[in-house]
Amino acid sequence: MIIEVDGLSKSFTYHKKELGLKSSIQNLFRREMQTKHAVSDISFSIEEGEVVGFLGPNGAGKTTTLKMLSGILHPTSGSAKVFGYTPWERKNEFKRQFSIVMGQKNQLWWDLPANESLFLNKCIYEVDDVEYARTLGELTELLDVKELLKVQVRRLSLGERMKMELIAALIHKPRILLLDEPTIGLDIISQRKIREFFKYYNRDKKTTIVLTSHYMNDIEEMCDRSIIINHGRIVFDGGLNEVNERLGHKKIMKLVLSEPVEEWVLNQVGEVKEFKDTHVKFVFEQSEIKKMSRWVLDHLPVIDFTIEDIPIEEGIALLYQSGGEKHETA
Amino acid sequence: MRLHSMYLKTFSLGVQNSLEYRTNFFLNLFGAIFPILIQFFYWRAVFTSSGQQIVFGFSYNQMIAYSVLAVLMSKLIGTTFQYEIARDIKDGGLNKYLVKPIGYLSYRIFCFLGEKSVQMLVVLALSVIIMLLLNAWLDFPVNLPYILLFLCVVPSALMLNFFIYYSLSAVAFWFTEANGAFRTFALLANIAGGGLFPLDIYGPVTKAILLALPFNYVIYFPIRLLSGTLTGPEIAAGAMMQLVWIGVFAALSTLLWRQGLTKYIAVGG
Repeated sequence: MIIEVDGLSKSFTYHKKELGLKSSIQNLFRREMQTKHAVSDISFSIEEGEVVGFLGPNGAGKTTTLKMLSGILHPTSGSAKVFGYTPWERKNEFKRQFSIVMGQKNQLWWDLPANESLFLNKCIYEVDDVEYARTLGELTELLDVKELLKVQVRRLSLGERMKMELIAALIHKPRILLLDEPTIGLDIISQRKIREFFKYYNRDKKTTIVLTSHYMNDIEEMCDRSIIINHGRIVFDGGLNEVNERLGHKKIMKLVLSEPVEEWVLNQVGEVKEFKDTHVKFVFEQSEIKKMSRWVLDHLPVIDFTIEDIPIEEGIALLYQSGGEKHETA
Repeated sequence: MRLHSMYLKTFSLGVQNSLEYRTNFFLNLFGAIFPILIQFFYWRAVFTSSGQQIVFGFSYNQMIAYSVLAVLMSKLIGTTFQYEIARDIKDGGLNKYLVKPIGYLSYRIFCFLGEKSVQMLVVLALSVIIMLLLNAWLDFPVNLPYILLFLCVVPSALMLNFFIYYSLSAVAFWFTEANGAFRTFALLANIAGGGLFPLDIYGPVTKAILLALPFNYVIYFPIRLLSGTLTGPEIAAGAMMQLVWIGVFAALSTLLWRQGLTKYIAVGG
């Protein structure tokens, strides 16, 4: 196990500000402090070479978790071990072995060309000259940014800058790569390129990748395993295709009818998810598939029908809704 | 050897960064002319209306020379990194340093020295020209040993100022928006250091208090040295005090930063 997390929690205190100027002035003198539990008692472990995605709505605690894993934040309670080190002790030997990329932050010097910042990282991580030249050549080739190394970072497009950020993060060949929203704000083609790059990089170098995203596609394409987190708790841990099993093997049946039917008739059959004129959508248990189909075909004026799995997005939305109750899985 | 190259690179990035915006760089220096002019007219008015040859123990010529040098010295040792640090703390930009095997303090020192070095060369060159002008025009004593001694205490003044403001920048951990505190502090420190007027114009009690504070070793002491008004033992004592204060503020900043980092909440992103 390269990462082991046990009962990790983090809460923040902050003050509330009501709408308007009056409360701003009140806030100058008296502040009502509140506590937010960003992450509550999460536990998981990750093996070397895995690609794990943290999925969850905004504010679910994904980024906070990554920040604790990288040692930026101290947890309120609980423990974490990365290569056996406790991240927030911030040992240099620990720092040399991982990298974190934050999609909304940049580590490159804004006013200077990227290769200056890359060279600074070379010096910081004590990469030797030959190794540096080779890694840099390989990465710029893969990401197709060789020509841009000498351009001031502030003149690069968002996608180009992201690629430079990645090179800066990978120049010392980290064993773990933590990515916080790596594709945020990028167009679809750049997103795809970056994803392909990560997949290749993981296969080629066996680097462990932990990423957060709220784009389903990121997770679906890159990660064999996802940890779905909501309100600071883990609600699911496993392959995305297993989300359905976790929801109890539900299926969706879509019908097209030749003429509209009264809703009470449909309600006899099962749970109506959507109903509009001649289009009906049922949700039902997989075990009832035969019974359902037979009844529907016998009693309703069906002209077309399909049976599908619940789409992953919807499954995840269902998990978000079920929220904190059923954490502790897998 | 390796570590050495890391700091060298940081230094060189600091230099490059300060040269990236040339216009800004020169305008920044050019801006120093206006306080000099204000001081000049101010003291001319004071001396004319008082009708005396000596005001606060300074002759007119000495006063003008002091004022001009004080503005240059303030420029020479001035810091702006505290604003950058506060922004890093407020917006979470500090994260990128925390995850790297590099000390933030040493990173900042070398970056500061790099950014400062070009400016210092230009300001020092300007100072030489101005001193020669002052010499021709106001009989300002130009004395090579004093100039050399002056050049010896300038690095200490610079480092002392660095550590004072590095300590100060840690308040950003407690007050999320610290720029107001920085401005006020910079103004007071400049006055207390003799950047506006020589400390002699304040009453004896105030002067004694100000001399006990660290700020006078940043501006007042080097200029008095340069003007040739200090004796050998006074110079030695002053240089000694500079080192003592550097030690005090280095210790203070370490303490504040250690405390502050445990409060750091790494906002955003």
